[in-house]
Amino acid sequence: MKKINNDDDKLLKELFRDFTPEEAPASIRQNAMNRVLHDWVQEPQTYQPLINKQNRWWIITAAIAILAISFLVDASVIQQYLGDLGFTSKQLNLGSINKSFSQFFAVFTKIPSLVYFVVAGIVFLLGLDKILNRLANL
Amino acid sequence: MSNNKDIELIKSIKKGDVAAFSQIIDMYQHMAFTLAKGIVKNLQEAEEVTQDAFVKAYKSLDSFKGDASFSTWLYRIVYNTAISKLRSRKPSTEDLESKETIQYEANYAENNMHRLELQERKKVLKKALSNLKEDDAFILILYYYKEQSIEEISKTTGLSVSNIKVKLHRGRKQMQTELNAILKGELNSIL
Repeated sequence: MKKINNDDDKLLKELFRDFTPEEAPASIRQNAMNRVLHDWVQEPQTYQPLINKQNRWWIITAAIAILAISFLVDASVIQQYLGDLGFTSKQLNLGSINKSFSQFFAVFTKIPSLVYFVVAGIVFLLGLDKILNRLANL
Repeated sequence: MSNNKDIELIKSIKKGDVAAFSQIIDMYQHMAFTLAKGIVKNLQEAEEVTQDAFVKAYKSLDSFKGDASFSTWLYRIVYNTAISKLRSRKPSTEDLESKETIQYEANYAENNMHRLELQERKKVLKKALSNLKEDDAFILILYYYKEQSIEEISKTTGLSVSNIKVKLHRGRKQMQTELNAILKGELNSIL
């Protein structure tokens, strides 16, 4: 049995040396791609929004914080604006709040401005990196 | 393992570059078609099977993890699709057993094959393969042409190693019988 198998094996090995796969009809590629594209078109296209829900809350919080800080550091412009709208200091006494917070923020004025620039630079670069990453994955 | 080009193309397709799939088709369509035809033995059905297999491969591309080679994964889809096609047919009335009753003459085919020209040999091989039972041609092509190991063929087909060995043995015997029959016919037509 082994002898026969070896003979078969030898003959087939030799035969398959000349073997070439059959030429597939051109319609296979065309039809398969048509079906694939049709399937792709039917698929719901989803995309990752640049600003997702979690980021949205961070951005809103950051905007409120910036407004709050700007108000607490110098509220005179806002006070004047509210005064123009008819709010008196009796109705809304921002001056005292502004004064107390100004004392608190006076601590920050002692920190060298370079520190602020460096922190702002780092935050900007991190933000830019995140946005570019998101754009790359669109 | 998949080659780098396969991996790059698959990554592109997964990212949404559907056109990259046409490159996959270009690379594998001939082999996939040959393997499909080896099972269904019919040009039109082989075409349908190959198309279906590529579409199935595209749809289930996310399940391809890259731990086996892409070709093994794809040929498995071709194999399963072709077998399903075969089973969906009505039972054939052809008496395959009668072919096995032809007397086994090992040296006869071997001696005559040497005398044939290259094109003739290719023709004879294709004809003999087309006469083999079910998936025997598929297994012989992977074993002798793609030089896959029995374990690899087992992965491709989902059949057990011992089953592959049995099919290989049966395929070899049947090939010999088919070659003898074809060569006898050729000689008779010349005479």
